[in-house]
Amino acid sequence: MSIAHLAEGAVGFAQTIAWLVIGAGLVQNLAHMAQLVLAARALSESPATPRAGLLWRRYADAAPPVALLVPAYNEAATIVESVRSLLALQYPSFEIVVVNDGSKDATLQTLIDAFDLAPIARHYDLAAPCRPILGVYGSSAQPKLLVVDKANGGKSDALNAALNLARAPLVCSMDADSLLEPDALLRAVRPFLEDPERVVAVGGTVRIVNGCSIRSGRVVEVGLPRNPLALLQTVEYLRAFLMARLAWSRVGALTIISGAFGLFRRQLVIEAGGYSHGTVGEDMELVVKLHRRMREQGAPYRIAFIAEPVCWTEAPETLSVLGRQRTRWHRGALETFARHRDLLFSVRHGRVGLLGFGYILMVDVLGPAIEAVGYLLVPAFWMLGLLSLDYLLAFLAVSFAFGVAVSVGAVALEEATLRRFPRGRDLLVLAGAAVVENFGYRQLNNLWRLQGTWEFLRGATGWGDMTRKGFRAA
Amino acid sequence: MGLLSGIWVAALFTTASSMLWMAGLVLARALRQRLEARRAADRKAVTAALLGVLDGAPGANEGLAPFLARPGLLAGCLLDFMALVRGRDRERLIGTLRDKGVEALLQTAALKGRQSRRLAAIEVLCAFPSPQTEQTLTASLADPDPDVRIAAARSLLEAGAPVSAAQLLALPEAEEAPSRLWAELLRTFAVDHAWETAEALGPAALSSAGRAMVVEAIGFSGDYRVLPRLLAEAADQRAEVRAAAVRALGRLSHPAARSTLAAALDDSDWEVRGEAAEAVGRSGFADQTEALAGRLADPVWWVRFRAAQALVALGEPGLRRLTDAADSDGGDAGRAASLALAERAPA
Repeated sequence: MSIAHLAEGAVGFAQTIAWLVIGAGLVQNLAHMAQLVLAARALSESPATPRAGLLWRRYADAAPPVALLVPAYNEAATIVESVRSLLALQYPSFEIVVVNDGSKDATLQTLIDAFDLAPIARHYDLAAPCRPILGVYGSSAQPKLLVVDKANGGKSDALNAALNLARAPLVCSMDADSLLEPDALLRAVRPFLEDPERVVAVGGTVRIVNGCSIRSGRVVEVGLPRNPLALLQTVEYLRAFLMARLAWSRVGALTIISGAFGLFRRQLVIEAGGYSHGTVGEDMELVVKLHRRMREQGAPYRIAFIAEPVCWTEAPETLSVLGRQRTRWHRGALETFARHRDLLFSVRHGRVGLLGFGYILMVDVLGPAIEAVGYLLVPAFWMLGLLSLDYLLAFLAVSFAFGVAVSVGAVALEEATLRRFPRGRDLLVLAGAAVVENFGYRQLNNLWRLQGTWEFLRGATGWGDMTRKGFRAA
Repeated sequence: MGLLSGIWVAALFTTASSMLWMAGLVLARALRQRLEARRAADRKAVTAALLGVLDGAPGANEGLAPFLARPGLLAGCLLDFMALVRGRDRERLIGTLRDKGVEALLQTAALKGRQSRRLAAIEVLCAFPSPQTEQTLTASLADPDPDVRIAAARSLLEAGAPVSAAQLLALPEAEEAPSRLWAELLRTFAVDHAWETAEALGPAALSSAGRAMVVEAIGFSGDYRVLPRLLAEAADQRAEVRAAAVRALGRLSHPAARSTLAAALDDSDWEVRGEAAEAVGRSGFADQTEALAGRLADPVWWVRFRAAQALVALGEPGLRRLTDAADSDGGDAGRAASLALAERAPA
């Protein structure tokens, strides 16, 4: 074979790789554009959100009881504030089940001291698997609060314990550091009121609390984070919730409801086996299990996302903590995909199998590797003179432009619905973040996703240390 | 234009569009904030005018004049205001608003325009009972929006207008996927119209969920005349309907339901058994103590739990039986009994 042939082959190979990377990027961008359009349609078709005062008038009498499931591990710094804010929720009937999952700090004692708790007896069933429950605590002064002490077993295990102790027909899974807005439950329960037979689960919006002022467990002033990492995550969360989840909900292929805030029918969760152990993506895995179960039963159902109910959560502000989080999230997505891989392109499982899992394959399974190949090989090919710099830059520019457009679209959705940012200049800051995130942040995310893939392939387990700062008082 | 140029044009066009879009959002935000500030000021002015009417302040009526062409704003303010005002003040206020033509304004707003405006107008109209209001609200029962329909039915009830059970059962909400809002409406209706609701239920073509909701609603009435209907529904083929009927019988707590509830303790469906256990306890049927004790060993936890609670509710005979079960049974029955005894409040 002559050198000319080899060179021709090399150029062809380089171009194929380049086209693969560019094609994957364009397909992803087109998918995001489609999500934006679907989300906008979903918002335009949904009824106007009533003021908080009207919500109570219209829905309070019909609202079913809800049990808030709050797993807590080493949360002594913030647990009391969190529980106090939950106790002040504006909802007619609810209970709070806090599970101390074998904390090494004083989480349990802090709760006992703050709320004057004492050991009580509670009849429960171990319907969902969990490690031994060591004690149940309550107080006649706080009839809505139940604290469960158990052997450490991880978040899924703690949620299952809470599920077992809960008695309400609806359960709301949360993180111990989630701050719900006072009317969040009343807003989130609406689909269950309007369509009680079909609605199985509802997810709400999760927002970043960094930069906001908190008083008595309430966000009293919304602000943008000063920390650049948290600011970039703000844009990401807007895309993830207001765009992606709304779109997937619209087409009936929502595969994840955030563990920070999701409402479920308790009986169906138990029938699905509760939260699965051995995965860090227990929130996504539960939703997929519910889809599978309902599809296989042939029962009409709906798993929905609605934008109005808001939960605030703290975002990592250091690369190390953020990296651990993103690596874990990606590992969790792959674990779920692997467990339920028979759903992929399964006609029997409808849009979940065809669209939902197809998207996960493209973005989560193949995406990180393709992107990594692009970052490594394409510049190398250019340096070897196998690719034209002009075209390379042009395609990068298009990809960058699409990315910015999608992020601006997510900000537009925020303006159309939640409007939590008080100042017009906040929008400009977000637009700036949407531009900046293309230079380094996205690439870092991809690196973390690759790390998540590696950990998944290695069979790694565990959460790692998630350091929290606690909430900034107003 | 070559491919390369085309790609660059696309990139630049997309970027420029994004920037323009963002600029538009900022501008729209500024305009909206101004609008919202004006609206807030208007709401304040309307509220002040309404307070002035209540106080009998001179010129207070004229304070409402600038807002009489804005039914959405008026309806929103009145919704909040009416929730706080009662008695003679309310009558005086409604009289003044009627004189100003607000009732007619709301009647028009209830039938056209944005959903939120129709809804608010309908919710306020219940404060203005009249033949025209009744006509408007009845027409709104056919509104394309389910929230508006429910609100119209509720307003008709609150206004004391004649509404029939057949009308409520004919609402689209009763079909295929009935809502809890419709169920709540039925509950409110059935308190004073239980017999009529029970009669209408017989021939009604409802889904099992819808039927169950109606059955449950009439159970809240306390009207013993519905007992035969509930006893008949307790034998329905559909478990959901049977469970609702048993629940309703428990609320009525009538001795004539004893044998039906006793039979329901052995139903093939666990939800029916659970409801039966609770109903027996609520009704105070102490002769069912042994049957309830049998349910302490039910394969489904929820039934065991309800049976244990029912035994507690039965007082002395139930507590004695629980103690026996706790002492003699090492399995599920014993555990259910022990925990029920441990959980109850000290005497």
